[in-house]
This record gives sequence, structure tokens and C-alpha cells, in this order.
Amino acid sequence: MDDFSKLAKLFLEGNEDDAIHYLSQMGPTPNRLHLYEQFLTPTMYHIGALWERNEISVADEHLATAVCDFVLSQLDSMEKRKVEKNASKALLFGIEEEQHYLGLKMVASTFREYGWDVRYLGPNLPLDHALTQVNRYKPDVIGVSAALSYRLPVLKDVIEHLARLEWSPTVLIGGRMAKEYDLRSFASDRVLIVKDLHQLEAWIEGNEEDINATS
Amino acid sequence: MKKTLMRQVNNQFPAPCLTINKKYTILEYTQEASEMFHLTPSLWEIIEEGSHTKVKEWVIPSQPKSKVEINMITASKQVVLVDLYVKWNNDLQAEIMIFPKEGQNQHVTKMLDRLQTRLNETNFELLEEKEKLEDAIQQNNKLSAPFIQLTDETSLIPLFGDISEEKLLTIKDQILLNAHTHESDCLLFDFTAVGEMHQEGVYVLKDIFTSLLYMGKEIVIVGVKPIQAQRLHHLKIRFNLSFVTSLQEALNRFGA
Repeated sequence: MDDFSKLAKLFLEGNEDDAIHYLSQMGPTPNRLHLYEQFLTPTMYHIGALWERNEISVADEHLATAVCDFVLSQLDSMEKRKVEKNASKALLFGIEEEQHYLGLKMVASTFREYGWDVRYLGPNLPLDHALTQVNRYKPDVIGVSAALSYRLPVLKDVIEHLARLEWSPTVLIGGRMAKEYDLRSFASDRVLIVKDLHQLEAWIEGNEEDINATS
Repeated sequence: MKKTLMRQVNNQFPAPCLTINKKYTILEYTQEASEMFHLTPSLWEIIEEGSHTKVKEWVIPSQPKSKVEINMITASKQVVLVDLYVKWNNDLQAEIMIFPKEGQNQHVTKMLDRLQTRLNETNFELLEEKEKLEDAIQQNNKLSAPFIQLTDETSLIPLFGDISEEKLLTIKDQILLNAHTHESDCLLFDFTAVGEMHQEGVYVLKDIFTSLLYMGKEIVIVGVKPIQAQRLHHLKIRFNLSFVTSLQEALNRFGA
């Protein structure tokens, strides 16, 4: 059995403790990003494939999602960098109707790993609620996630509103849509498409270098 | 090519049922099916994008009987989860019965969603409260070392609360700035209202004292309790620090 099948089995059984134990054996230094990209994400894609193969039901998928969420929260609360004073701020949300949120949570965790001040608002957030929070919190980066192609019109609307903000925060678009569809027409110098966590990490590191170079 | 026409049939079960050919064209449907979906001849129109592969793989003549869970799109454009029961009568035609699962799962799904939303909100509210608290502590720290000028020569700086690293770092700049702008050369640090002294805090205190000494100030430490004296011992600054037991005595000696 490969790693994904083992982990998928634990997820589908609702066995969160064993799943965490299993992941904790994957290396002495717990690099969260590595665990997310190498294990959690492929495992969840694998579970999606099991549904396509008619081997599991949506109810099973929901259970696996909940277990994955739990594991993710545990990993995220492991020892991490303290939020620095005057740290850059990131605000993250999934657009209205979008129920997929695991990726967004991993993004939140990645930003935290780099000492950012993070506000994770969860999935399915109507635009006006998002804008209220955005205006109050004034983030440097706004991460928006969408998975399904039906959300394209809403996503477009969200990006247009965020691009108009006067302090010009950087808008990052992620989620399965960024991976599977060509969203290049949305991109600009303020709006970036981020396909996976490695790309996000590279962007955060590049960004830190830019800040260090100019200060 | 013969034009296919869909027709409604009544000799089926009282449930949404379809008859399709192997090109996924709908040939027959029940009244229940026409009520549930906006039917066009193409079956794909009522099947959600993410389920297309699954249908192509499972609804085929080589699987004479199958049960498969997919998402479909209703007449009101809602995505609903259904079980399809598929039976191929021959290689050309299949009968499909559609059973929505929403009813069975809906309650649980809604409850889960609600719980999740609540957790998320609570989490968020906690975060906001935490930030408020941090602001309050910061504010409190700032007020823990007021600079009071007593005479031209002497100023009093009473310290309040625990000597923690965080607090000392907060008040460090304001103490140095005040010492610079005020002319008084003698600074009375009153420890009467100080509680615990943390090691890291004491180190920062040492930094502050050292800076003040370089600025040519005389430092008088007032009202140190025995237990605090042991901590201060770690300071190991020997020059220009005087110690006085009480503020009263200090005022007598250094005041106007």
C-alpha cells in the first residue's frame, strides 16, 4: 500500500489519532509544508478518485475531510514562529458558496510558519462580509480560494472589488481552480495565481527578500 | 440520422426514471423526472461536471447492472447528490432510476455546516479578544513607568507591576527619551510597587541603566524588597548606582 492509500484508509475510518501518529513518523523535523504537499493533499485527491471509482460515498468523503481538518489543525498548532511585531498581515477566505477549505487552511498555516499575522475567515464568505473584514484589518495580502468552475463569475467579481482597494494589497488566487483552469486573464501586478503551496512559499520568501532589499 | 424525440412514459415506477441509449441521449422519462430536472435530450445537461467521468465509466453496457453515486443539476439549478440505479436492457438501451440522497444526508450536512461555522466564528472572536487583550497589556505596560520631574535636578520613575521582558522593552525607549529631554541628572527608580522580577526583564533593566549611565545620569534605586535585591544582584553594575530603602528617605536626600 502506498502512503496515500494508508493515510486515506485512516481518514476514511475516522481514525484521527493513528493518522497523526502515522504522519509524525514521516521525519524527525516536522516540516508542515512538506506534510501538506506530500501527504495531505495527495491523500485527499486520492479520496476524490475513490469516489470517482464508485468505491466510497460522499458521506465517506465528508468524514475523511473532517479527519483531515483535525489533523491539519493539530499540525498547525505545533511549535511555530511567533508573530513578529509589525508582521505582514494576510487575510484568507473562500468565496461565497465555495465549501472547500482544506487548502485555504494549509495556506493560513504556511503564512503562520513564516511569522505572518494571519486572519483565516473560512469558506463560503459573501463578498460584503469579506470586504468589511478586509477594510477593518487592512491586510497586505488577501488570499482567495475557489475550487469549482461555477464560481468563476463570483471570483471575477471578488477580484475586481479587491483590486480597487486603495492601499493596493496583493491578491492571491488559489484553490483547485488555480490549478486546473487558465486564470491568467485575472492576473496583474497586484493579482497573482498561486497553484500550490511550494509556489506560495517561493512567493513569501521572494517577498521577504524584496522587503529586506528595500529597507 | 433519425431524430430522437424524448417522450414521457407512465408505465414506470413512481420515481424519477429515464431510458437512455448508449450515446447518453434521453429517450423516455417519467413525470417525476420531468418535475425534478429541466430535461433536454442530452443526459449531460443534468449531470454535474465533476460527475461526468464517473458516469462515463459506470453507466456503460459492459456494466449491465450498476449503482453509482453522482451529483446532478435540478430544474432550480441546485446540485443534488443522487444514487443512480442503472440497468442495461441490451447493448443499446438502459433504464435509470434516480434516488436523491439529500433527504438522508441533508440534516446531518446542515448540522455539520452549522457547527463548523460556529467553530470558525468562535475562533475568530477569540482571536479578536486576544488582540484586544494584547493591546490592553501593551497600553498597561506603557503606563508602568511614568516620568515625574520633582525638581530641576531630580526625577522620579515609579515602576509598576512585574519586571517582565515585554514590559521593559515597551518602556525602555520612553524612559531614555524622557531622561534625554528632561534636564534632571538624578533619577529615582522606585521599586515599591514592583511585584515579580523575571530574569529576562532584569537583563533589559540592566541595558536601560547602562544607557542612562552613559548619558551621564545618576541612578538611585528606591524601595527594593529583599527578594528583589537578590535578583538585582545579577545586574553586576557597580558604578554610580545608589540604593535607598524608602521613597521618603530618597525624597529627603535627593528631593528639593
